[in-house]
Amino acid sequence: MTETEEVPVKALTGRRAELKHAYTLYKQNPVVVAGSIIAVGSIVLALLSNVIVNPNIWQVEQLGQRLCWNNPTFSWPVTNVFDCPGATYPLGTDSWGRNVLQMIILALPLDMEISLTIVVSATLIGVALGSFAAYVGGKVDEAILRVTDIFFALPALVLAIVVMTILGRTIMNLTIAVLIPWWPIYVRLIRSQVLSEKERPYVEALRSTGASPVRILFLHILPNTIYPVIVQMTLDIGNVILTFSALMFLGFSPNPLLPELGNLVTEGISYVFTAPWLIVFPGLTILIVVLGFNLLGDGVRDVLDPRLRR
Amino acid sequence: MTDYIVETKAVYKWFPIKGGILSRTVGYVKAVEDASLGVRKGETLGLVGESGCGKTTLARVIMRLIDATEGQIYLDGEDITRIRGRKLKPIRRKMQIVFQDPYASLDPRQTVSSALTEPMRIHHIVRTRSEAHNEAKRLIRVVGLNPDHLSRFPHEFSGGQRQRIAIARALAVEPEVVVLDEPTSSLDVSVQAQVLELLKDLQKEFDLTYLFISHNLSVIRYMCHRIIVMYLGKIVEEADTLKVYDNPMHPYTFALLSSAPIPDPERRKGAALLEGDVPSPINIPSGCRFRERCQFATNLCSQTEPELEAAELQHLVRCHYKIDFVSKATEERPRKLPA
Amino acid sequence: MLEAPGISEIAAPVLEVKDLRVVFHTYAGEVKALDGVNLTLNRHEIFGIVGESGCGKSVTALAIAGLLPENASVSGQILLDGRNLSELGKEEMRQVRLKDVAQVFQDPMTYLNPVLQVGFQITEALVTETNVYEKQMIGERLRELDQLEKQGTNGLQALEQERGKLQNALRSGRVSKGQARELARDVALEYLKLVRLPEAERIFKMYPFELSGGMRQRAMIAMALVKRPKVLLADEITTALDVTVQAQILALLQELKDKIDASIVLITHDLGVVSEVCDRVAVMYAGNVVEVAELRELFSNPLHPYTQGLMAAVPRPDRSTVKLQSIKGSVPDLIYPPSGCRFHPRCPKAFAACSQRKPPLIEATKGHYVECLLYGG
Repeated sequence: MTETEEVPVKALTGRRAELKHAYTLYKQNPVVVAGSIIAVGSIVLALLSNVIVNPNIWQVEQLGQRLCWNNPTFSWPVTNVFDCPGATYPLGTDSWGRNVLQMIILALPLDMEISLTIVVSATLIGVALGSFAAYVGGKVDEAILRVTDIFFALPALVLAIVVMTILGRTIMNLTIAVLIPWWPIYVRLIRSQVLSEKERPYVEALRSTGASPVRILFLHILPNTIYPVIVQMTLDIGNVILTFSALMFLGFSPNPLLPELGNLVTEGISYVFTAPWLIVFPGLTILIVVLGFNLLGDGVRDVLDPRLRR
Repeated sequence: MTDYIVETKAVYKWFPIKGGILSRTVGYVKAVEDASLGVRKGETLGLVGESGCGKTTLARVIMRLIDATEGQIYLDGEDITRIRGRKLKPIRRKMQIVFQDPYASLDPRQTVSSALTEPMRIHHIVRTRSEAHNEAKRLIRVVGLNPDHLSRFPHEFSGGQRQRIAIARALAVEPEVVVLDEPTSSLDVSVQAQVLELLKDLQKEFDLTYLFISHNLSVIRYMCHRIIVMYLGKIVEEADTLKVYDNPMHPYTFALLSSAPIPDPERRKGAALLEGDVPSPINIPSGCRFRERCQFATNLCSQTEPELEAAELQHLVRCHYKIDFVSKATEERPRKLPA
Repeated sequence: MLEAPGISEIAAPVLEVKDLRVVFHTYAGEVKALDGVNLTLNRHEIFGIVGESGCGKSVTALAIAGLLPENASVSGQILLDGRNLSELGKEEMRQVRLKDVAQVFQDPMTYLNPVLQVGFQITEALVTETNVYEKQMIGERLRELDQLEKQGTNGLQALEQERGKLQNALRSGRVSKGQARELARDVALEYLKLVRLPEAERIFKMYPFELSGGMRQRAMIAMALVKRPKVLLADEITTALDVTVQAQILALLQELKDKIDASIVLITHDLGVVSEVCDRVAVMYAGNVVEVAELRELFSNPLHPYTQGLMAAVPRPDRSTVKLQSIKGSVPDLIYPPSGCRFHPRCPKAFAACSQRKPPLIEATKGHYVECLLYGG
């Protein structure tokens, strides 16, 4: 019998080696670390928000304390800033007298939830339609591509506005309105990934073993193509927040009191010269959250994809 | 004597070429034409030829990875030409394939253990996880690697080791026939020797039948009992290995054998025998496909395509003249035949 | 016209590599790719370097051509006609590559620009770097004119005019772009014919994808030879070709050997290829040259156990082999190479000292060098 071979001596092999290597790469990349801290931070904050802040506060109007800035450490170079009695407001109050900091904390879970719903739904639709198109090919593939073309031809925001106008202003409709222009990208992305992966020799090898197309698709092709999709998803979380903030800004908010980052910005526009904190802090929050997820998305692929590193 | 375990009858494989705005079919790549062969149980049949000859396509048609355009394929006497979908699964168990590129043929995200046990699970060969794991351990030892390699990923191994893993995976379903598509072409020479020896040992131990595809004439001579030479989609010569090597009768076979460099300075060739390039299977010349490069071509050759016929016992040749290069020839070049 | 090779019984070698060491600094560690390589290349010879993957044959070629990546540290000497290339800066090395060292690679499809005509690519260097090539091209054209005049062709007046213009250019040291292009085209056509490409004028205007693999490889050889290099590095140039096409290219190399001035370094893993065209051969293993000898001597009397193992592992197309002998184990990881002789873990004849010191290169018999403690050191 042929001689048993030596594999070079290494401390760690298999999965543990992969994870350790991934962690090393992760640590070496400050951009990813920063992004992931912000992203994870936002999510944690979102999860804990109902614990930190009373979730019913946003429905209350305390007009006696509207538009105050009462932060001893930092003051605005704006005249006639009303100082509120009582407790300090670290980020001021808004036009209904609510604590802006609390509003931001309450807004995070809503934003994250909508955003994740949209991104995950788009991905699921993308996986279903995209892999179907790639696998079946022919006219079905052509048909699906042409449908995505139609959606690409229409500007996303305009499409969302139309949908909102037809459906009316609720959170659910808002989610649908942003999802509709969003899903075609995922179909295209996953379709092209599956198409190219399908041609690889190991897929042919699996077919020759007797594996069914479903098995090959879900257990082999999709896991190998997932990294670009994850990158797209993380980048999109931020972009989706921006898009429906824009929708809110355009007036499609279901309730002006709603604690949502875009909503807060919208309501603050009217007071930009008299109470700038109403725009600055929610806006800054949007910026940081979106930036965090973008940075994370940029770095995720480098860290996770085993093939890129070989 | 039809105790062939795999047999093909007049198999054709044409690939349509689409063109134009409406993607109409404008032509065909005639990859394989009129391929009739039989493989006997326990033997190694070699498929030899250069690029574009159709050997890889023919192997995939036999494996039912692609459909034949025409013709029949038989496995153990059963006609498997038109079987599709789930009914193909039991066939898959009987015929396995090892590919040329050992890295690309393994899923890079799968551990060796998973790659080996997956076929077992697909065909329900094992019932429990531990049974699968034990089988995997047995298989990995059979191909000369050891069980701690099971938890590793393909990229942690060298080319030769990966090819052993691919062989182990093919053996996992206990097949009868293994198609080997250039299994050592991307390996170093010393590793190639190890893998070829392994294949020979496995053939004896498990009574396997091999269909061995290669363009390397030295490896083919070493591994195969019988060989088939292909050119531009057609079988041009078929006989026992030694008969073909010692007494080739088709001008292409002769040219092929003469072109193979010999690792021996005393056996230098000097001028190349064959001019021109290997043609493409889109525009096939009329008459005999080889006539444009053949030094013995006559008018007959451009008019009529020759049939595959027996030149002598058990030696089939597709040539009007079936030249006996050995007896008619001086050491280097045969004399030109009268037109 | 081509310059006939001079009376070239010159003893001095055209290329000498002395104790070449190359280390690659990678994230995974230090890859000690070359561990003291010693080679000599004589004039008008085809020198084969044979070895398996990881042996360093391609790295050696890249080191000679000055094309190693940024993360490589090089030490040792590479003497081209006495001039030490390893001491040269980037621009000077580029000039060397322009004129003296040419390379042909394995896959011509990826090494030729797909959107430029073949002829353009061949003449590109000649036309843009006229100060390097002008004398060569003008000299050749003048000799050609001499030939034509001797043969007594028509249009002698036109030839005289051309001769005058060329001599002016030579004296003033300025060649116009138009002149350069004309001259370069002539040179290119000459070489396209030399590599036996049929209808050279047509091929000149074609794009790489219109040519077959064998024709592309010939075009690359022509491209390398137009600059009349001293050294032509051919790295696995027939590996990707069909065997009948490979035979054509090897026959071409044999033919060219007598017609050109360059020495060819033929890098391959195929002992048959080596046997077909080479004059002398070096065998490399894991970053070392383990044996060098004249071709017949190497095959009839291989000294190093690795060479012996390699030859026993190769099947032949003309003879039946009973059993292939494989070399146990596998190629070492060059980040953690074995101590002493790098082959000792796989060597059937290894003894204690082999793991302790690296064998020096010694001359076992005349012209036959080996790095193995079995033969001394």
